Amino acid sequence: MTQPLHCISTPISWFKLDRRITGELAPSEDARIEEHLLQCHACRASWEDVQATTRLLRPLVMPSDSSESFSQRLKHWWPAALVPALAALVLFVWMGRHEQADVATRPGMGGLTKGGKPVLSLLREHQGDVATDPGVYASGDRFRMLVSCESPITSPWDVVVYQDGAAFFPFAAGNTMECGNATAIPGAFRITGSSPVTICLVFGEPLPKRSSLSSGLPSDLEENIVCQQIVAAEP
Amino acid sequence: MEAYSRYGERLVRKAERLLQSQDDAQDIVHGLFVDLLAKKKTSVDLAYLYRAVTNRCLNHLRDRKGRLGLIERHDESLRGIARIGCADSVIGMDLLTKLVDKLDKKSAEVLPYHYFDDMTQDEIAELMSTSRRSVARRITRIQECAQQLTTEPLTTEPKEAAQ
Repeated sequence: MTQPLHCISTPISWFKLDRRITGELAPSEDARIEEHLLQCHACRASWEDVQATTRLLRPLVMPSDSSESFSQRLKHWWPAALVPALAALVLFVWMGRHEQADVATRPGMGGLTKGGKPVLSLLREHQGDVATDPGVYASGDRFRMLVSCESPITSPWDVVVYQDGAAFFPFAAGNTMECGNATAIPGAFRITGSSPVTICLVFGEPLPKRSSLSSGLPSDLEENIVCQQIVAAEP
Repeated sequence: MEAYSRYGERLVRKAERLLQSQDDAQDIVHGLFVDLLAKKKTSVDLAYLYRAVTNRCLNHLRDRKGRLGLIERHDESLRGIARIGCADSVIGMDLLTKLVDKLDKKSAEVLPYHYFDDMTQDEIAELMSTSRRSVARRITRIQECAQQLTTEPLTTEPKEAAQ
C-alpha cells in the first residue's frame, strides 16, 4: 500500500473536494479550504488528484420498463391474430438474412445456420412501430432479442452491447434459457447515441466471463457468440 | 442525464478508492445511473449519489463472488492518496472485506466515509441524517471490530472540520 500522507490537522474530505470541483461550495468554505491547501501538502496532493482525474464514462444503455409492456405494445400495434404470422415471418427472415448480418459483424464467423449455433434476431421498436432485424436505430429506440436454436438446448446466457469501443451489459448476469424457435430473451433495452452498435448474445457452458468480453469479442469464443450490428439511421 | 456527466467521474473515482478496481467501479456507477433512469429519478445531488455508490460498493463486497474477484484483481494504486491525521490508520482490502462482513449495516456504511473518503464525523452525520454521537459510536464499533480482526489496534482521532 502507498505510504499515507500526514495532514497538518484534519484532512479535507474527498466529498468536499469533489463538491469543490463541481462548484458546489459556498465561497466562505471554498476560501477556508484554499487556506488549508496552501499549508497542507497531503491535502494539496489530494486536490491535485481530484483535478487530474478523468474517467471515461460508459454511455447509458437504458433498460426498458419490462418485457410485459413490450408485449402489450406489440399487441397494441399488431392485431393478435397476426402475431403468430409475424413469428413465422421473423423466422423466415432470419433464415434468409442471418448469415449476411453475422458476417457484417464478424468476418470469418459465418455458417451459423447449420452448425447448431443459435440464430439471433433483433426486434426494434421505434415510435410505436416494430421492425425485425432493422439494421438501423435511432437514439432511444427499444430493442428486444429473439433467438432460435436448431435443436432445443438449455444454456446460461448474457448479452453484451458494444458501442464506441466500450462494452455494456444491459441485463443482469446469471440467466439461463431454454432455446427453441424464436425464444424471446427476457427484457428489453434502449440504444442511445449515433455510432454503430454491435449486439451480441453470449451463451454456452461455462459462460464466458464479462471481463473477457469487456475489451471486445475474443476470437477464441466465436462458437459461443452470435451478433448483429446496427448503425444509426439517417436523420 | 445531467447528473451522470456532472458527477460520474467523481463517483467512479470514489468507488475505485474503495474497491480498487476500475471495472467494478465503472460497473457500479453505470448500474446506479441506469437504475435511476429506469425509475425516472434524474434530479439527484452528490450527497445522495455518494450514499448510493457507497451502499452498492458495500453490497459488492458482501457478495461472495464479487469479493473473491476483487481480492484477486484489486489494484492498490487505485486507493489513491491516503491521508491520515495524528493517529489515524489506513484500511487495506483484506481488512475491509472482513469488516464489512462483521459489522452491522450502518457501521459498515460509516466505514468508507471515515476511512476512505476522509469525512469528518459531522459530515458523515449530515450525509446519513443521523447524530454525530451515533457516528462516533459506530466508529468506535469499527475500531473494536478491527482490533478483534487484527493484532494491531486501529485507532483514530475524531475528525473535525479543517481549520
